[in-house]
Amino acid sequence: MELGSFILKRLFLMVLVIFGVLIIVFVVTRIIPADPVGAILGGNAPPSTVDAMRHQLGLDKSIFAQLLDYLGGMLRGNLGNSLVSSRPVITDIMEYLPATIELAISSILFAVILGVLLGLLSAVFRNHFIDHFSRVFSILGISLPGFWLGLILILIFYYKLGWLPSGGQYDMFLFPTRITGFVLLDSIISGDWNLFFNALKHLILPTFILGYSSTASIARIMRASMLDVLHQNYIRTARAKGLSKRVVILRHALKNALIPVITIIGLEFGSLLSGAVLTETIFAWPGLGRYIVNSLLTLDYPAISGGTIFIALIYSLVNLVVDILYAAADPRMRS
Amino acid sequence: MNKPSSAADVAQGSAFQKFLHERKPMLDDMKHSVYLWKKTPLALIGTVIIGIFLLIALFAPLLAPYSAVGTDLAHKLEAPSAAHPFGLDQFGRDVLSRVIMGSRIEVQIIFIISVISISIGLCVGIIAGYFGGVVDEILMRITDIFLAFPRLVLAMAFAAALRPTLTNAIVAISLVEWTVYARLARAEAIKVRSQPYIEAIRALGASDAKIMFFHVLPMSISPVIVQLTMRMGTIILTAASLGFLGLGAQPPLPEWGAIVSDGRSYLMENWWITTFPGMAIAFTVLGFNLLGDGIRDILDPRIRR
Repeated sequence: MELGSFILKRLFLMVLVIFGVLIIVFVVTRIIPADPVGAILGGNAPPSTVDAMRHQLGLDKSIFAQLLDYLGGMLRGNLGNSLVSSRPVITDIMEYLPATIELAISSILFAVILGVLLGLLSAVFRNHFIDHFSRVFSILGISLPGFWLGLILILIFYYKLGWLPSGGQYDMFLFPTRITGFVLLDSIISGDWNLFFNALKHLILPTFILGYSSTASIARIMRASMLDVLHQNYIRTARAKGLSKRVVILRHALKNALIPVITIIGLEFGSLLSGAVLTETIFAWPGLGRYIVNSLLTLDYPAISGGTIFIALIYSLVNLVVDILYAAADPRMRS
Repeated sequence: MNKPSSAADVAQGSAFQKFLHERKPMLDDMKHSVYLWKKTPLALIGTVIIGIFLLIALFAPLLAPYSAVGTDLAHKLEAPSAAHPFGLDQFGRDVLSRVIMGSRIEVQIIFIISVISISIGLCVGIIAGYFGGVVDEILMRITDIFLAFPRLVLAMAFAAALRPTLTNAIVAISLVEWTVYARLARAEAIKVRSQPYIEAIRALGASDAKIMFFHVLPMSISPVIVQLTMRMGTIILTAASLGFLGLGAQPPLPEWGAIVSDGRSYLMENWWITTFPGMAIAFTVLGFNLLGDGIRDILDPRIRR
């Protein structure tokens, strides 16, 4: 299949999937909850208020009419108003999104760099100390509950040692100028280095907690893939030609061993978004994950549906890009 | 035993010998697996951890020194001591007893989620793979839709919509988890359906339902079970995460994630409330992951030498 038609097919499938996502979210926020109005107003509200609320939310219409209203709203980009902040959900999301993107990017960078490095060293020095260390580090990374490890690290690095802050994106008494919404970027643009380094310090623990399990998965895949490549004939040929081990590993093996890592990065992005929900809750990080948790706990249905749809959109887009990159790198994947 | 035994020899032997003879390839395979098992120390460690975990859950009421829910406000937040090795929480409950009794909840979680998600996954996967065509296309697109959400986020949404309780958290995770098994079962069903013996059974007049249940299902089930053992660690982590976020088991249930969350407000002075249940989660998940890794290694023909 040509790359162009592969991309078209994937795009078409993605539109279908997004439609399905909207339906699932509709079911979750409008059909499963037995009594959304009761949840919003509490059990003791007078019937007239309940009726007014039902009318305001459109709950007095038939399910089918509600579905059409909902889909129509989505098409126009209208996610409704949050019941807690009374602002349009899309405004809320745009305010919280940059913090999540900042954390996600720094975590994925951390995970890819450390994961690839550990996997590479592990494969090259197989069964040496570094290999054992990296394997223990990896199995712990996928086994330790991130929300717990985060609390333990706060206990050590904030309460006991006082080296790092316990949470938030920057200290309370700092007031960033909001230009792009990305605190690190804004602080560079406005030349506020105090804020920049403060924000950087706040980023360390959340980045580690969010990136750790991905680091582990990437290191495992990288190790296996590198071991596989090192046994290939062309590597033996390259060595036989008299090339140094260093050149063979860095120029010939690494490039091919990285291909499976591309796919795992796409998959890891999903667990990263899941992890962001927990990490942001522990570190009081003002991002989309914490927004969703808060809206779930307060049963703020428009915010729940907007937030989950947004997360699913981001996740699907990243996977689409990964699939296309993969297909471009390996034509066998286009079938 | 080097002399190949003829069918006549076997017929003369006892029924048991005949039984053994018929199953010799399978028995050899099992022996080989046990051998590899012993050669994979990490899998062994995993097995031991899971064994301890299951034993603790089985004998929890005998092992727990105190009640898991009984409060004793006079001694609240007491540090670990000989009488209370894991300390006491903000209501004076013994943390060790809560962790021990909590193991039963975790076993319950794993068991029920496994049964539900495997059942849904096998049904969807086998029907999709066996019939193929439009049915396959529709079922797989539905699976894709579920996969479009990060797992925890979708489970959280289901759990919150259903009302946060332990039962609903189990249902919510099952609703997210089945997709893994559906894809696997589908792949197996596609392999099986084109086999000549299926064609023969169909020619004999067997219905589709009968073929799927008696011939495709038994062939699809083992890779699904293997995958399940590898996912059990993740299942516990997801359940504990829901408990931690307040979207799973509710107090006073001693679910491990919920206890970690309980201790969060007391983290600075009373670290033990958070630390010990978290370690229990970590050990159990580690055990399942080591076991899963071991099973994968044993089944991987590249390391079978």
